[in-house]
Amino acid sequence: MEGQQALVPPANEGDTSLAQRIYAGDRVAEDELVSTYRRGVFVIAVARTRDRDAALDLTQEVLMAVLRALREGQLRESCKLPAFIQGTARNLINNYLRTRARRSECDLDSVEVPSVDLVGELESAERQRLVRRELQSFSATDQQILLLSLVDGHPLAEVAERLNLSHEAVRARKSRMIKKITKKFVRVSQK
Amino acid sequence: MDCRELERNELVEKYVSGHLDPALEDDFEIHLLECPRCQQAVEVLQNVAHDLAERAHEVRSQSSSRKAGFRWQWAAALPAVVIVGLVGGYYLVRAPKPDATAQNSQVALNSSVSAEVNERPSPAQAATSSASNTESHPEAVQHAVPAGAGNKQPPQVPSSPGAQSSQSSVVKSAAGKSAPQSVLPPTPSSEPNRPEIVSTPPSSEGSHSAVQSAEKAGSAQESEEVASERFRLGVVQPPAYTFSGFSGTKTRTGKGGKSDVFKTLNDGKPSQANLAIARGLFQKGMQAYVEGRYNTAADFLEQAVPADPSAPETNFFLGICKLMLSRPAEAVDPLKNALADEKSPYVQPAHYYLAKAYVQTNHLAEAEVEFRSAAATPGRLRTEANSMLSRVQALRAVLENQAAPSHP
Repeated sequence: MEGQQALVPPANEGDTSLAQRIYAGDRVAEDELVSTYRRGVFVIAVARTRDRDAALDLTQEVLMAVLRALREGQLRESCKLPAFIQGTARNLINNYLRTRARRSECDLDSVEVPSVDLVGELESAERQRLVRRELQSFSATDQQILLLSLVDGHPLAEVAERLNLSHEAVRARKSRMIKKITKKFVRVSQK
Repeated sequence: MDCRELERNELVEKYVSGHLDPALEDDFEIHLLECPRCQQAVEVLQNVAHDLAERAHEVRSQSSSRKAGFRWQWAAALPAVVIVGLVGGYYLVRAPKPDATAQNSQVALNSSVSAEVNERPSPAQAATSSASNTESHPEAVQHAVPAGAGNKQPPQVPSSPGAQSSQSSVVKSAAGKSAPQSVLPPTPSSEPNRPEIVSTPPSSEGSHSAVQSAEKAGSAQESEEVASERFRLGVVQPPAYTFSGFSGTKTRTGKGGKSDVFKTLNDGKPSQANLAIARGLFQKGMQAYVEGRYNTAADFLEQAVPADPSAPETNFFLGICKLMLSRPAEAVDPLKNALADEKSPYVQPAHYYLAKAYVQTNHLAEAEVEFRSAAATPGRLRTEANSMLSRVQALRAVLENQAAPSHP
């Protein structure tokens, strides 16, 4: 459990004051909280639902629930704001996943699309385009390794067996590809 | 908090692929909320997974051997192009100019050709002299292009495996390797056309030969088009599935309003417990299906089939999963099973996708039968099935013509 200990973030004074400011009715602090945590919540929602549209809605729901709770002073230890947000996100996403199978179909035309962050969407589309271009530069086998492991969720041993490669070769190729692509795009995003 | 440690343990990719230990998941997500770098890393991998899921069929259908062959293309193509250029240039330079031959008589032409044959230099001499000769006779280079090549466009499916394999077949044969596993016949080289260019005058007989060479070039291109068409006919778009309730309970209602659950209980076939198990497995499978994880979906659906072998929806989507996993031969049986219940709404799509499976396994006659059945069955796929039927018929006609022995 040492690894788990290492993962727990230290108490953040900024988060403490942020929670207290929201409790005190500071609207600027609310905007700050949304801008600080929106992306992280979205990433978590995508990872758990694998559905970007649903993740967008869930991000809104999570942030609204967090703000409501903070306004009402439900967060007892304000230093644990990230853990509180993560817990809220986990619960709401699990609720969504539980009810998804029971949700009825509805006509798309009748759904009113809420206003969205157009710049964010454009950036996301551009990132997706760049990622696709980068992926297409990989060999077919490399793409299959990523598909089988990242999308289909097969363990590397099975991927190796399917592609008639050694386990070590698959591991090395996957690791190399992920490092390359992560390095490239994380660097691009930071510029 | 150490992002490097996360990287070292590959926690980010485990998280994206859903393999992260649940005990670590909460802590990782808390870290994620506060670490922009890890957020970006996760986002990038999510984009990768999203893109791969979108192109899953395309990626799965690419064979690694083809891609490996593609790497050889540039290395092997260069000497091949140089050799073809040199040899072609040599013969073209030696060929009589059209305007000159038009003025000469047939007798004089024949004698000049025979003299040329006697005076032909060695290939090494030809190689050294051809470059300058080609430059000095640009019109000869124009004749080297097959007459039909300029008129016909190559098939506009660059990403199709057929097109790729035809390219690689040329390269591999030039490199002295075995022919790749391809449905396409090998593209003929320009060598068979060469003697015709050298020895035939621009008379009516010569133009006949030119037509023949054009036909040869055209037929090669046609074969490529046939392969492309076959590829296009076999392309599968997975049908959408929505969780608007378990379709099995809705659709499988027998006569007199009794559900199949009671009917099968009376028959002593799948018990209610089995049906519940099948339903659970089906839902898990379809959850994976809508997320594009066809392998997982197929695993669940395969487990669901023994519990309720007659369920058309389970068999149908199992067949679709097999098609999406590029295992068309394995898709045939489940799709046939999906046809067992004539009242099921899956009859027409099952015929349609069964035809696709047959196209992919190169059983065009069976594919034609299935497309015809799909077109004859009421449903949304009728127009598409009709269109596919006519295309398969046209394709079969072309293939039969190609298979017939050509007359000299």
